[in-house]
Amino acid sequence: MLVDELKRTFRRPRNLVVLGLIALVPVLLGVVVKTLGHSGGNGGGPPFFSQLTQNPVFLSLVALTTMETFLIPLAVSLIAGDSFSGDASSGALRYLLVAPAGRGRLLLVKVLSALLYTVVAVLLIAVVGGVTGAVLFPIGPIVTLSGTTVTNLGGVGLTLEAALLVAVSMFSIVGVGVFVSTLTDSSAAASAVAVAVAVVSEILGQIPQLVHIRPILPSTYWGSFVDLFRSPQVLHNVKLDLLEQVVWLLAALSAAWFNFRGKDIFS
Amino acid sequence: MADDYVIEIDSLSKRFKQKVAVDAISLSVPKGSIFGFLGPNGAGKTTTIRMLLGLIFPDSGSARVLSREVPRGLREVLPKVGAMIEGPGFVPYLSGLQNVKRLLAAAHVTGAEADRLAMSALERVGLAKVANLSAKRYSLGMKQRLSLAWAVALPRELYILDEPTNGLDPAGMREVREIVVNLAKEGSTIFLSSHLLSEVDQICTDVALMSQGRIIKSGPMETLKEDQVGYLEVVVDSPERARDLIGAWYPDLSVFVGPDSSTIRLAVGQDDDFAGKLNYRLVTEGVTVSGLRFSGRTLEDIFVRYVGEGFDVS
Repeated sequence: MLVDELKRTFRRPRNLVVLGLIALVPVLLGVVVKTLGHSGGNGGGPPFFSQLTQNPVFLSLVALTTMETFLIPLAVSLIAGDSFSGDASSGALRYLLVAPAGRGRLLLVKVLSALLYTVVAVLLIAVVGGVTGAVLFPIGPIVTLSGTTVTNLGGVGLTLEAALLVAVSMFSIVGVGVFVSTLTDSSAAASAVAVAVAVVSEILGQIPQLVHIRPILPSTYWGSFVDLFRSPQVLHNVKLDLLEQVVWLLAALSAAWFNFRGKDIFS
Repeated sequence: MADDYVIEIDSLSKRFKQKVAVDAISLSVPKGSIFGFLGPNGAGKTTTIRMLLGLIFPDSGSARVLSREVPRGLREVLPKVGAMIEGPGFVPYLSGLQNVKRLLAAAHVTGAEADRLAMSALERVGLAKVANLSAKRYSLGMKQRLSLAWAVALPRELYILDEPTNGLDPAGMREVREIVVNLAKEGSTIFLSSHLLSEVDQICTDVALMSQGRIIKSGPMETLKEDQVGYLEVVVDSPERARDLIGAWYPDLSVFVGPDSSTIRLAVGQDDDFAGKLNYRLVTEGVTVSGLRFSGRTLEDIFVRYVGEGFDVS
């Protein structure tokens, strides 16, 4: 059933277009920097921006950094928000339930499908960034934020780790999207709420007076993957991010189950 | 008793805010029957069906399907039930075949077995040639057939079919009737909701009439028809004279002209001897009789008697 749910997710033209568009961003970044140069210098622009032309992995990392705040949450919200709402609006949900799929099993399959799409989308950004960087820029030394260097293979490994961490950082938004999609037949509304949670979380995180609630905001530790590129690695925020994402995901899925298990299905 | 009925509903109710959709209905569907579930739009038929299938939870009362309480026993019940619910519901960008296979996967049937069952079901409903076409390119009739293909893809003890012929052309409707009758011949029970009275009249063995959330009448079709007093329609060249003659011969009989100007109706049940004698007496008196038939015992007549004229939304 998971395979069929993945087919539903990955064969939808809209979802493929979304994947195509987010894969274009690192290409666009690379071409712009190659053509116009970058005047970031040390301390200018997002993390790794100043090193962008030194090694292909930095294009992946800059793409992840710039897209983590909005484009990636938007992409995963579209899929998560469509999980139940899409089937509800087409009428397929009632047929799945009567098949019988089982409400718990259906929730599990839909969450796994949305999480896998998230991982694929983020890895795609990293891979396209790396390939584009290899075409456009020289393969020079990879200097960490602590000033040490790592091998190219080590750099690729760290970049993939960073991509996976960014993907996991989206699990809270996936959970919210799936939860809201159990509440409404409108995919657009469910996706919009999930994106809104991401954006509002980032805004609240910037307000000094709200410093005490930062630890529970889903976006607080989104940039923590940068810490993987220190020597030695500083994993404190990475661990907090993982913990927070798991807690948000479980809380959202518990709410989804609480709502969906006894919900009257009219669609 | 439990084994004699595949569906047993007792005082089942469902309320949506201020409106009572299903009002303490009780109903028994005999095993092996083709059970027609009739009623105007908004009568509560689909709500009842959704409660039987666990899509909607009742407020009170109980329902047993295949000898198990629902919704508690749905896990055991649903694998034995094939269902079409309120029209088609498919992923538009997947093909008809992929859609049926997706539902089969939900029912734990995968791989080559799913391929075989899905294609066989699509062939059964005449969709084999468009199996790989996106569902969004199907016409309404084709989508309806796709719903039926899913409902019959697996052998089941009970089929709950909600308006299975909606959107179909006459040939398609006949094919669906044949499929339904064949499923019953194979030993399954069919619970068929429809607004097409003639369709139900042709194939159903039992019937329930629902209106404004209540079951108005239910039972075997033959019993309902026997209970129904019919009338004899006589087509003559001079209806006024014929009416006067019959009024004189049979003073206790209600006779009136209609529904057209050459027809008179006599309130009598099926009685061939009476019809023959009446024909002879009218012809002897010089009245030309061009038609004689008993009527008033169709399902439509029964429906009108218990539910009223028209199919207005209740």
